[in-house]
Amino acid sequence: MHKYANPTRFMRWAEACQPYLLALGILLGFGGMIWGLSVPPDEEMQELIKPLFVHVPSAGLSLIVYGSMSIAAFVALVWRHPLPEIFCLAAAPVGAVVTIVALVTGALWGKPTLNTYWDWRDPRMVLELLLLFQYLIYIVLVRVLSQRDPALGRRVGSIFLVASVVTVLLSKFVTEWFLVLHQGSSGANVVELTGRVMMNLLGRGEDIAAEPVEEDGIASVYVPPLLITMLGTYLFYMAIGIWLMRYELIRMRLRSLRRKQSAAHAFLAEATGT
Amino acid sequence: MFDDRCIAVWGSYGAAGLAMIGALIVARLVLGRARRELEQLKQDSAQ
Repeated sequence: MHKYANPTRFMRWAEACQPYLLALGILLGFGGMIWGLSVPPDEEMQELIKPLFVHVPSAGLSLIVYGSMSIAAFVALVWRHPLPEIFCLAAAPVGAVVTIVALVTGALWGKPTLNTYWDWRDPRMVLELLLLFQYLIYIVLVRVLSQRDPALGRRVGSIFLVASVVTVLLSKFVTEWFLVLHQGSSGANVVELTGRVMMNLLGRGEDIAAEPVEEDGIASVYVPPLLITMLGTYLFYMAIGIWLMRYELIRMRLRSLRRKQSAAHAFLAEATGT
Repeated sequence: MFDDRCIAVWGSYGAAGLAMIGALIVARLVLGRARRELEQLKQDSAQ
């Protein structure tokens, strides 16, 4: 396991997988979206069920990315390893993009379903916006501090990520704890429905178009396109993350080469007395 | 012409699709630029 913790070795392995992840991500992501556009109308929401297939994957991913960044930051702080820090640097822009997508799709979907684009009294919406600010604060914090001392910048960034993970936990449970405009988490509903769809495929379950598990849950007919879009979106952004990890490693290499170059210039200048 | 329902469906798919295409292009561009910069610096160091 430890041999993959070496950044160069890890990147060699990750870059070998990257084209396949990207191709599969594009295929499943866009394929799932097209499937999502062609699903039959929902009994209650009619055509307005369709934004579900783009909103849920991006909202879920925005929490997953921040959660995994916080775990990686904790690992970096405890074991002082550079790979988790590189992961955090690369994952932050990806997380910010998917959070923006979640906010935009949520607002557009909210207008016809909740009768408003935005409501400051809804904790789930406000926490998602706070999550976007946290991504931006982390990016700016590390970039600004790294101009003087890159190691310090990454370390302070890791402390910030560990300290601010509470937003992710709150976002996950706030719909259960408080009375909010935003509907309940789709996670548990999707997991249970996936089980039912799998049983159905194996010929041991009930009809695929069964009733939703919960009163406000989604019908099982929408689960396959949702899962395909989720998987595609996650694989796609994972492939983008690998590119960005490579970018961060090159930036580190550039900094070290420039430092060596300026030290060599200073030495030459001193030796020749110019 | 465009009601809220139409904007909700097509706007959200458009936003998600554009974000994916934009992320792909930007990531490719910044990585390509960094690679070129590294090659240039290596050549300068060799000289």
